[in-house]
Amino acid sequence: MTFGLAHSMVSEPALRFEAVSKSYGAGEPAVTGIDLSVAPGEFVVFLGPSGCGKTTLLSLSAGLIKPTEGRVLLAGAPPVPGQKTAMVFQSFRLLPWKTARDNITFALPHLPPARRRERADEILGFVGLSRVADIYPGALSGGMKQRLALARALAREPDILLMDEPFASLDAQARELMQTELLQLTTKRAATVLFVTHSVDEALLLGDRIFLMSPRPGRIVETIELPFPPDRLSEDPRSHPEFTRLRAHLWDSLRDMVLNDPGSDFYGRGAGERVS
Amino acid sequence: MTALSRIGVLVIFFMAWALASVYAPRGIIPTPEATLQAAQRLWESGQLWTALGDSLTIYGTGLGLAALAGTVIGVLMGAFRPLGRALDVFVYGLAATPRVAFIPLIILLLGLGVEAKTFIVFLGAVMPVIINTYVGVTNADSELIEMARSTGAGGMRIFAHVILPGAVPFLVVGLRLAATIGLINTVVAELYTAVRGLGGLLALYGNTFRMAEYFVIVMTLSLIGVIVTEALRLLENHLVRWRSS
Repeated sequence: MTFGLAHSMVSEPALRFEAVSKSYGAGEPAVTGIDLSVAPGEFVVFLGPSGCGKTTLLSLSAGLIKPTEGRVLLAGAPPVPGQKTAMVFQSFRLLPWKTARDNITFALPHLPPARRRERADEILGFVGLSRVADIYPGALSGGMKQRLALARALAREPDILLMDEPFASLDAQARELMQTELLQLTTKRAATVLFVTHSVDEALLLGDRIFLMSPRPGRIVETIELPFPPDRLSEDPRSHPEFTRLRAHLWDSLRDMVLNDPGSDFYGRGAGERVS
Repeated sequence: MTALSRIGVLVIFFMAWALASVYAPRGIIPTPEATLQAAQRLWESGQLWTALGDSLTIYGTGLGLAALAGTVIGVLMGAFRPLGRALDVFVYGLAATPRVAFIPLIILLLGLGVEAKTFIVFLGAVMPVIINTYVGVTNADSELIEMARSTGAGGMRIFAHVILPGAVPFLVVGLRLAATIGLINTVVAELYTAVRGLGGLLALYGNTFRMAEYFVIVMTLSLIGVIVTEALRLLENHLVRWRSS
């Protein structure tokens, strides 16, 4: 893992947002005034309630959509879909009519056909799915589907891995296992990761840095450098005293956002009990 | 188990038939034995074969052309949205118009021969294929398309690997409907144009009250229906095998 690079000023940032705003049609922008820079090898988490534009930031990074204002730069150039990034989605998005192996080869059109299969088998082994290579996604469990979706992204050897609430639709146990697995995979193979979640614990467990976002319009309200040692696997950060403090702090911020957001289901619900 | 219960249904059917032939007024329902003998006569005289050949040629050609043209038109309408939006109201309208209404016009244009008959079958069968293919292509999963775009896939690649395979289950439903309508239209065509084939025999024996022969023709038509639908079901199981797993 190349976490050390995260704070070095030598290398060019892997990703850079310069005063980025994105509006869909008229109305309030989905995100506004986004300035950020991600170092190669860094694992950054976008944390925030729904409607804060987290997914929009990933789509902008992937080049799937263009900013309305400002610039997005991937290693100095505007992103082109499928060139330096790979995405992992909450809803897996596997092609149901392709076997596990063919779902991976589909994502590798840039390789010669013979190499694609080789590469797919390699990566299936890497995530422990070799024995289901010829199975259709419909027959796989949720955890296996998400591992396959992750394998499909890793097979492309992206400079930046974009993960959109990838574990949100898994049950608690599968989620915990996948988090550990992701840490293992990114340890074995250095990668810059942009990870979107609305889970405070997940953000604290996985990230080097957390961008706390607030909704309507989506913007970054706080950036937190996490003080935990890079090796999360051998030293669980949940036992760290800072973990508890940050967890409480993040929860408070998120609760305030949700209670004060007219668009949320809980708008105004906490007014009586909280003095602010 | 299913096979056994199906045989059971068949046995009950034959028993009901035998009973009905005894209790119904004379001359309406032939006994199973009489029907079997009629089948033998029709078979040996070669009449059944000729009629079967005529009908199956019309049916097969019309249905085959409908499957081909319907898929192409449906895909084009779905892939080029402005074209689809311009045409779909008219396609739905045409599909809702009883195709029998066009027969006099078709006869004027194509005569009473094989061409007219094939066209009547084609016209009936092509509509469900167009409509279902069109719906299948327009209903493509936008999340999967976004995923494909994120891998850098272009329009052609997305179409071939995401949109078309997603439309196949719809297309198969369209084909099944087309097969049924096509068979109906085969008989209709044979009744309204030059009276030949199985439809011709149906008219001949029906009008002369030769009910045993008439029953043979009816059962031959059901048998064709069963065989074609079963074949299409097998095709569906193969094409959509990813679903059952």
